[in-house]
Amino acid sequence: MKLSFKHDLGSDGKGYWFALLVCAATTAIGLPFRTSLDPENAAMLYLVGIALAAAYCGRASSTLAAITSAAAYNFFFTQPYYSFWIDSYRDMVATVLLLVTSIIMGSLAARLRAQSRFFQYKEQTTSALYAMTRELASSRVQDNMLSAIRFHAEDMFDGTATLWLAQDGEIHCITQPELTDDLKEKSAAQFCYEHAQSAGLDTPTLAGARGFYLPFKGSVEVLGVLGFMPKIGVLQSDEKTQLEAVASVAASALERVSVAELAERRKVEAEGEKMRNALLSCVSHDLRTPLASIKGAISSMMIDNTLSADSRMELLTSVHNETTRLERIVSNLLDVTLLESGRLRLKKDYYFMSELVGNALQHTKELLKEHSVECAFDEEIPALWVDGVLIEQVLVNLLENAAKYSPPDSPILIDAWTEEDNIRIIVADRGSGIHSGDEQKLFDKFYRGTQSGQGSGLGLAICRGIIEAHDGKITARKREGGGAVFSFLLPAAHAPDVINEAAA
Amino acid sequence: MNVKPHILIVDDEPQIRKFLRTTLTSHDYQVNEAEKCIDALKLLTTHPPDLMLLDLGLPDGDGLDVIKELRGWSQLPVIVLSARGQEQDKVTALELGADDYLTKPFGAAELLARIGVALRHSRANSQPQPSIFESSGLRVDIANRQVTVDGQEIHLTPTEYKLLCTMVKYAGKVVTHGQLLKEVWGKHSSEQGHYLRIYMQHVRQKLGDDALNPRFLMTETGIGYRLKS
Repeated sequence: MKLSFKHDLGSDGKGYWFALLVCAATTAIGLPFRTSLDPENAAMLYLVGIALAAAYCGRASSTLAAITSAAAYNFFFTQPYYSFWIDSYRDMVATVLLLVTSIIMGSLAARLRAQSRFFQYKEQTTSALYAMTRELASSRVQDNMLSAIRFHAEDMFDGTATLWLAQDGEIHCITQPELTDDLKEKSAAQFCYEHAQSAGLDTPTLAGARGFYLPFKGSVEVLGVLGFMPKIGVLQSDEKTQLEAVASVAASALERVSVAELAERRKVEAEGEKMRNALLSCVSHDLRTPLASIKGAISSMMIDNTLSADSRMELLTSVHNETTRLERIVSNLLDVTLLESGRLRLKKDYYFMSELVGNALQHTKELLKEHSVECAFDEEIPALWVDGVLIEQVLVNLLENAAKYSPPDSPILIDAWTEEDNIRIIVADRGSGIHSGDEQKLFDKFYRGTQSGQGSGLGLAICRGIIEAHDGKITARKREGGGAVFSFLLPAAHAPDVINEAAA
Repeated sequence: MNVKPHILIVDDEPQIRKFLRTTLTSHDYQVNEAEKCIDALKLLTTHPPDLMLLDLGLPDGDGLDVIKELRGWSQLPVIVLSARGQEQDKVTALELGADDYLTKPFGAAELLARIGVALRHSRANSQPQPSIFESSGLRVDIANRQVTVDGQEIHLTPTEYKLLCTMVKYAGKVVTHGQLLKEVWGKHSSEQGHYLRIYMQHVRQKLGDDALNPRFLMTETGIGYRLKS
């Protein structure tokens, strides 16, 4: 709805015609009863007509109706008829009174109507502002808000609304980017932004601009600028006030969003801070502990030549084991970084379970020397369609995990079976199991469970990252009879054509 | 052999060079060192070594370029030193003509074993191919097309036999999927990739080799296969 506020409605041609018509009609109605009516009664009849004209038309039309009615009264109803000459003193008074009364009545009616129009207009503006407020309140994204502000401003006023936001202290028009290069408009908007006061059209500052600029004043700073270019090139007096109202509603909405964004950013920063702390503790504890033992062992060998061959071997073994541990932590950190950077590209290919498991066992031979590993899956199980290097990593991490959290000599089970087009793989141990409520948290980065272990809390997070990259899901649960079961689902490869070849 | 084999070490990390130098000299090798591609190429012509240990990330270029250049005029054995997670680089290096790779960090035993295999190979290449391969119970008699495991004769299809022969040809070295496809099927098509794996599984089954705990054929995930020698 376009709001327009005209103080004197009916001042167009229609009002005059209506005035003349009313006058003619009154005359036509009264004329047949001229002889039976007192001239004063005839005057009353005209007053009815004038009242009608005053009610529906503007002040000018009702004045016209007053004058023509007085003239018609004089012409048709006072002696001598059909002449503007008035014989009796009484008729003369009646004519003058008719004229004066009707002019006063017309002006009163017009004022009344103007007032009612004004209130109606006020109500329209209020409801338009209310609609905008409501829409802004339901919006949480700045972009949506800006387009809502623009839409409502252009809906309420006849012209073009522009929205400007500041970047590094410089204002840019985001609704019509080309305006940023329009020096006049940009300077006005910039002035408005910097001085938090209106500028441009119809203001003392940079009045040469086509637009009228208003700041979105937040509680601390100016959040942006609203520009308005009226279609007719000039602002109507009340438009300024209304635009100010729009700008103030918009400012409070924009402020709300910027506060919410700030809070969101703080939250992300806090999360990041938490991760950094975890990483720091990982680096400081998990990397330092092996380094300390390596340095200690080496230095004692360097200063003490009298060490027996046995003690030397013992120290060297510890150096070797600790470097292996360091190596594992560093690769885990690298894997996590790679998985999180999103730079991971899967190189899917055709892989046999037995090859992947065989290689994973090869890599964990040292760790698993005190455990027996049972591979229960069928040799004929379909091949997998996966990134073999990564899935091997998952198996290595799960085996390491099982070795770490289950007592020596306890068995570890690797099993797999088909589930529709997928293959379910499980790694189960007879270790300390999983605490209730830990099933999901286990896969969180740097989470170490309730038992203290020497893990960095990364191995399972890497497993989850890799399995999720394959669109799979990895879960952990308590195993019946004690221990833990890790289970995940991977796509099976399509069976290729059967190869038939006679033996040589 | 009377003359100590000569090894060129190309790595920009002084500590790694030191470790390699100490280990190799104490095992009867002569050593030369280079930090950059350009020094490496110079030393390759002025002091031709018997083997090169080449790090892929060098300050003045990619180690892969050194292999490419070298293979234009020499079949010198090259062992690539690379980090974990660079499977693609390893495959590229192998297909460009590198003989083997070692993933950092590696131990002395692994290093010496790989160097031994590579040197044996390059010596064998200059002599006529032996017609019989024998290692840990597997015997392949190429002249008579006969395969036995622990004295038991094994019957292979022509393709399976060709695959095994190719592995025998490069025994001890890693052979990439691409190289195998090219040598056995005469083409390098990734669509054939799964056939290679299926044939390899058949060969393993017939040899009584368990992929879970391989006796002869080792899987190098993401790269290829290696026949133990």
